[in-house]
Amino acid sequence: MGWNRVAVVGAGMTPFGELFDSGLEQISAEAFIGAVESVDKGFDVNQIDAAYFANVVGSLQGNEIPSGATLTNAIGLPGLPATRIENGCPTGSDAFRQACLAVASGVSEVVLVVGAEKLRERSTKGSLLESGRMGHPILSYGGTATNLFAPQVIRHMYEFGTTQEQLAMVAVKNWSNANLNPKAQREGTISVEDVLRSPMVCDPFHVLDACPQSDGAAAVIVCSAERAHEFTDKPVYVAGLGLATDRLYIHEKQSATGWDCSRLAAERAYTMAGIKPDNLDLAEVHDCFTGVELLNYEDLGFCEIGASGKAIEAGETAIGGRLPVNPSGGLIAKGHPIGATGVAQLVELYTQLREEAESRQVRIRDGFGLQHNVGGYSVGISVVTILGRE
Amino acid sequence: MRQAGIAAGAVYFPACAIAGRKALRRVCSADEDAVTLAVEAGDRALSAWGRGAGSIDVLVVTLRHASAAKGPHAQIVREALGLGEDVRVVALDAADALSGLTALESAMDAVAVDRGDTVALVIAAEAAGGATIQAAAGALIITIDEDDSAPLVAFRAVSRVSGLTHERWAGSEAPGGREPDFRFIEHRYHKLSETLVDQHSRTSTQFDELYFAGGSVREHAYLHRAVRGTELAADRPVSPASDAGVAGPLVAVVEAVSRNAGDRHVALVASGSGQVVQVDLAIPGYICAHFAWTNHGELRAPVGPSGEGPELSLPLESPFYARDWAPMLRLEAAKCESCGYVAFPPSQRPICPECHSRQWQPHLLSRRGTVFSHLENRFLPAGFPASLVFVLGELSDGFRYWAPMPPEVRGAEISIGDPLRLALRRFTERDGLAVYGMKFVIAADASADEPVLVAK
Repeated sequence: MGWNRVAVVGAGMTPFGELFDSGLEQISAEAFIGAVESVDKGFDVNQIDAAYFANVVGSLQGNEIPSGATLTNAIGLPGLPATRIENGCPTGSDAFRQACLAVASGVSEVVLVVGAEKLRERSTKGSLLESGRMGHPILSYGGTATNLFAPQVIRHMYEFGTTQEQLAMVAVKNWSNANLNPKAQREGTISVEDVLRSPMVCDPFHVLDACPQSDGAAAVIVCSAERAHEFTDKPVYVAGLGLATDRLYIHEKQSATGWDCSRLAAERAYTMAGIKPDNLDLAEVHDCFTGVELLNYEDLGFCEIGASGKAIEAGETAIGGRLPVNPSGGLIAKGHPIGATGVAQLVELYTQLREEAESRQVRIRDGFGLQHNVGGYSVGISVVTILGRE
Repeated sequence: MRQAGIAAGAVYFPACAIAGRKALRRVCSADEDAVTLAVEAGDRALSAWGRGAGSIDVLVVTLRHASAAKGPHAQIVREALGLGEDVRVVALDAADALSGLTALESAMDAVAVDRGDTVALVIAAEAAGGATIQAAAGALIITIDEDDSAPLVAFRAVSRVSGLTHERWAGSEAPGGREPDFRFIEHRYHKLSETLVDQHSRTSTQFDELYFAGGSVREHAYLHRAVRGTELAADRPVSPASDAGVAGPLVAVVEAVSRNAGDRHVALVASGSGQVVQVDLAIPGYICAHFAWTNHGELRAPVGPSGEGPELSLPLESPFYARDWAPMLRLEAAKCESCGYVAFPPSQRPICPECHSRQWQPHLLSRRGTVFSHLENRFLPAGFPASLVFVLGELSDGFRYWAPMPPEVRGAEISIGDPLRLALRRFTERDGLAVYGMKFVIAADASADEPVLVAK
């Protein structure tokens, strides 16, 4: 079952963190080389037909406007057809979707996707708070990232009794998973009390409820399913793709305790893949804030509406649980270099489905994994991708 | 004979105060100014009158700002109140306490002179609250007195007495400023009041009450002391009108009428810049229904950064603001003619998302609602206060609206379900240019009704 016309045959990423000694081109190249060297049967870079470059803040905050040419020059392939994608937080996974469409159309056969971000090229406050000056001058006044996600979480706490402690459990789980991931930005263990004692940034999120500012890059190589076995005996196929936009301003949105674009994108991906949430062995979802991970469980069909607080409390989404969520450590503990994030989630799914994730390996039964991103200006976009073995 | 008269009126007092020498002094919230005070009072006067903004032909406005603000303030007030583009706007200098009275007289003249059924709205707003002047705004509706059996509040300036009194004699409020020479000031006011009393004794009207609208508490005290023992004297406690600066005279009219004490004659003495004017008001008892006197229950200290406000996502002179004036200043949305879907802001939704039609009608959003979700954001860009409360409100018409609350409100005060209302506030001011929009404020008083969209 599944669409399965495109296969992933290589994946690599840099560590995520504060990579002060590396610039955008260096981390892009490092992720690229990682993906190339991961191809089981070897890979000649001249086989690449096209590339997609996922990068967000380059034009939103700086003087540079990175284009596809930024990537091709970084990886020693000037002249290669390349497009830069920007679509908010789902930029990386949307770039992947574009690469799949290019392969499926037959115009390209082997396509590279690189997501890279240098948020730490600026001070933390500078880059975090820049977003507060974007969008509609009145309707998005003071609209930092927390303003975009908090209202739905607050409403969820009101309607379903979700607690601050349950939110904190997401951070505890993801930090614990990150300890098993050598590429993760954060290390160490935190407790629910640690989260609740950290300073409150914006109701209901404390500092430890939020993901960090990160640098990092990730890359995957895709090709047509027919050619996958030239590169590896264990390809992972693209079973389903989903992309959806949402009503933009919060006053227009129709869901009060989640995001319709996530739900729609997931439905499209499940339909294309011909599977249900029960068939998933793992999921890498968009936990920019702890509360958002919980609401994602419901939007993505992992549990009943309103039941996500109980699900985290019961350990259902731990690595050994019913449906492991964010075994990589998620955005909160692995890091969130925006353009790289979606691609890194796909790297994790590729690694897990090939059972190469070592100490954080989840149990593989049906052989399907899901990645999810949601965000962008006024949270208007979501991308969901389902990868599968067979 | 057709006379101009006062048909309705209202006042607005800010909910913030600071400690004065003897009592609390009303001051603007950090995001209020003369423009927002004027719009609050004007909205309430239109509601009290009950006939809608479309019936107003002339707007007379005098605004005293606390800062050196530039900009088309009178036009912003017109737009925010929903008065048509073709309304004649008279913007008067708010030089002294008599400016409010001048504005009222100008409005009366405009209505009396026109041969048609001209209706005027006059607003005076005092934003420079502080040690001697309280922030306030008053608004009155002036129309032609059509029907002798249902007269309006008749207004007649009876006496004027002028004397050159330099403000400098009153001293300087600034720290380290000039000491006042009270004795000369008192002497001048005494001579002025002698002349006033002398003029007054030549009329025959008996007065039931006397109001002072002086420029400051001090001038009021001089006048009161000077007329004590004369026919003009009356045992009146200091009323809110007496130290409301530019807004004083209009506040006094509303105060006098809304006391609801039946048919009366009231004398109003207004002073400023060395002129003292006595005005007679003939008040028919029933008319108090059209006058709204409101007061906030709970007062609090203003909170907010001083100096320049935050940068917005577009420079303040961008054509964007002019294009979206009506939506941002008075919540004018668009309603799809085919399916009734309401889009906001209209300029960003040219095509209906429900039925794909492109035919729209203007549609005002409700200003009353309850909290649907809320947060206090403690991590904001430069120029913002340390924290701000934001609310997603569910309006009484079913529409949802997202807006910040004024900077003095704390998150712990707000719960889901609390009643709020939308009010015009200043979002930022930089280099003398300001941007205004709607914020949620605590719905302390129930008297501010929905604005009525009347076909123009």
